[in-house]
Amino acid sequence: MVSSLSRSRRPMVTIERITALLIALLLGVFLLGFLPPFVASFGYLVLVLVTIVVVRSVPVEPGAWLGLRIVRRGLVVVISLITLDLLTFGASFNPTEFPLIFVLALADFALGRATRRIASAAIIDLDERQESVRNQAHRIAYAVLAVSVGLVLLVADVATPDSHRWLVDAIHGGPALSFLQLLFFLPAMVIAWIEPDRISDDDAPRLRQSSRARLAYAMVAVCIILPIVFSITLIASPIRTSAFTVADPIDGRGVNGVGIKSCGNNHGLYFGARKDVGWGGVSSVPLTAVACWNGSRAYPLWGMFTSDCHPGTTEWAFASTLTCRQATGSDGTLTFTYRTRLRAVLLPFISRDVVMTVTLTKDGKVVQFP
Amino acid sequence: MTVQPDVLQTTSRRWSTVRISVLLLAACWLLLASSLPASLHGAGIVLVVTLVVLDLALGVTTNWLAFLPTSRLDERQAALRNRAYRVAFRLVAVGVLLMVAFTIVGAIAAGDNLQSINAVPDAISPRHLVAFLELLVIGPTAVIAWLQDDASGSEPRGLQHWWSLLLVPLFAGAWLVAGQVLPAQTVTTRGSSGLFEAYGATCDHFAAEKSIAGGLAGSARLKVEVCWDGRHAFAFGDPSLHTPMDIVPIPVPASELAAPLSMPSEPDLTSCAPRDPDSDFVNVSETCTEQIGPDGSMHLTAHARMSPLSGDLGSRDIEIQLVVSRDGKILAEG
Repeated sequence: MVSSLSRSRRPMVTIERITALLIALLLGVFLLGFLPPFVASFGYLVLVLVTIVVVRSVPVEPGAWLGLRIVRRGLVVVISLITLDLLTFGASFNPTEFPLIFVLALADFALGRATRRIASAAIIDLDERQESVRNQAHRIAYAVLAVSVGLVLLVADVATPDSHRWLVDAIHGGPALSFLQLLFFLPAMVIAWIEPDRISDDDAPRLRQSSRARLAYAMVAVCIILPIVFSITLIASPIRTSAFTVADPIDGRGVNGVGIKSCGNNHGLYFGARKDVGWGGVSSVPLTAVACWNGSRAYPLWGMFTSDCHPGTTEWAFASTLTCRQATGSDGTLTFTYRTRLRAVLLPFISRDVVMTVTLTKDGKVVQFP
Repeated sequence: MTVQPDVLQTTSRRWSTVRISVLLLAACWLLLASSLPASLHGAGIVLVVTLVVLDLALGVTTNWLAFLPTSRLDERQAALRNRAYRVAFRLVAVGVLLMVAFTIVGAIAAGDNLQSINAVPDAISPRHLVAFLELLVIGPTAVIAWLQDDASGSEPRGLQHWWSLLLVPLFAGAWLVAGQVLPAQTVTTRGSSGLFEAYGATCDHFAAEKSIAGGLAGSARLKVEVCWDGRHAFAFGDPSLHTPMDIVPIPVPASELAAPLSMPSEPDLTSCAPRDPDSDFVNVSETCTEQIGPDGSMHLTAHARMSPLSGDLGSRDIEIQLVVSRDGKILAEG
């Protein structure tokens, strides 16, 4: 009776549509925040979103493999293991973690196909059996979510200072992704687990390969290949360098707003440089520093110390500082070396070192830069 | 075909009572989950008690169908229950997304509020934690109440079914007792503000938070930029702490200063004020005092009073101490 009541009309405002609207709004805000420095990532995320919309508009059948319960259960186990592993990720991701997230995205894509996306389908597209299975799956998923998230959240927040600290990291790190995975895919995981061997109806007609389906597959392929291309350009593209110097720079921190010479009575030089690597996803390594000299020796003023060696914006790459060292030799020459290793996010075995060097003699001659 | 007029009246009356209860529940939840107003100034507990009353009322109205084992349900009830769980699952997603959106809006609205900068980071405010748990616990029951009313499915409950409302004063009492007896939990951080130098002295950032029952019975906090030069340690950035200026190193000889050096106000670095969410469930008042010991060490003490009821009735005092030696070592904390 309940079913027939709900099937009598298709309301304009549904919980699924409200969810979709809220996701779109939040993603919009998130994407706008991405736009200024991360143009390639912004474009890629937009492509992914459009791909999701196109893929979801194409009806799917699980096919021979994904129709098997054991394969579907294997898929659920893989997704569960990755979801559990995400719990160990802190607020700062490391290079080995992104490939795992990429695999999770692909597994979720396969999960949608394995379950014919009935977990999120409109009620009008389901028969009575599918609707019953879906509702049952949601009840099981709800219990799992309530215990795994609600209980963990409560205990971690109030138990001990250490658990509280873990939760602070968790909210901004991998566990937040685990939560989103459970929130949006757990019912589908339950359906994949409980459904018998052949999830589609035996007499279901074979789906035609429409042009929209071909477009969807092409877009998925592009979504997979593009990050790999971005990663490869990290080693394939030339390093683009821009550099300039300013003699006797003025320090803006002077008394009453009047600038004072950074190096006081000595001479100084401001060094500004940037090295860009990659196409699509561009990673930048910047250098801004001031060094001084007085005829007997050259010395760093700022920008050449350990705390100054920060990579700039990195897209599709992680940056780690290998060397950040400055020393004034016995001949009074200052040498500064800043070496950064850029490692591709999705293919961590691809990496490239970028080196910045400043060599300044005691009489102000720039021997090497950058 | 004849329709009994009393049946229609009963259905109509129940329709309004149950659905109004669900709508009231939703309104209370939205107020709790939103970040506006930034602080509930102790009224959060009134909201929570209201939610508990509505939860119990809806539970009784639905005969706690959401929590009954399948073996005790007939086919129609089981179908209704499963459908309610599906809708409730989506409601949880909507609720979480709404809370994220509210948090963003709240952060934008409090753009000039420097309380949270450099403070001990909070994973989730107590208000949002309660809202999330409320959503998880009562979501299916609220949906069942709404759907059941739609289908005019259940009988009105007799008075004997409402005994569970006695749990409400028990719940309020348990919260009051917890605020009095539970130990305060301390979380501290150091060095989160980055590099900072005050006229040549070395500085570091310290923050501490002491909360009772995960903040549900109040929290006190302090954050302070402590500087030291080998002779003294002192708090920098809050004139109300009355740091003696003769111990603060100055950039030029004192005779060359046009005016005596004064302590700048840097509320993003040093502050003893509670954050807005700390006062959601109890009223929190906080003061800080600083003393420089004869050995040059800095003794900073924050005194906070948590008042769950008006007129300081049932209030509890807690204290946070920070002692830093003249060479930057922490001698006492917490």
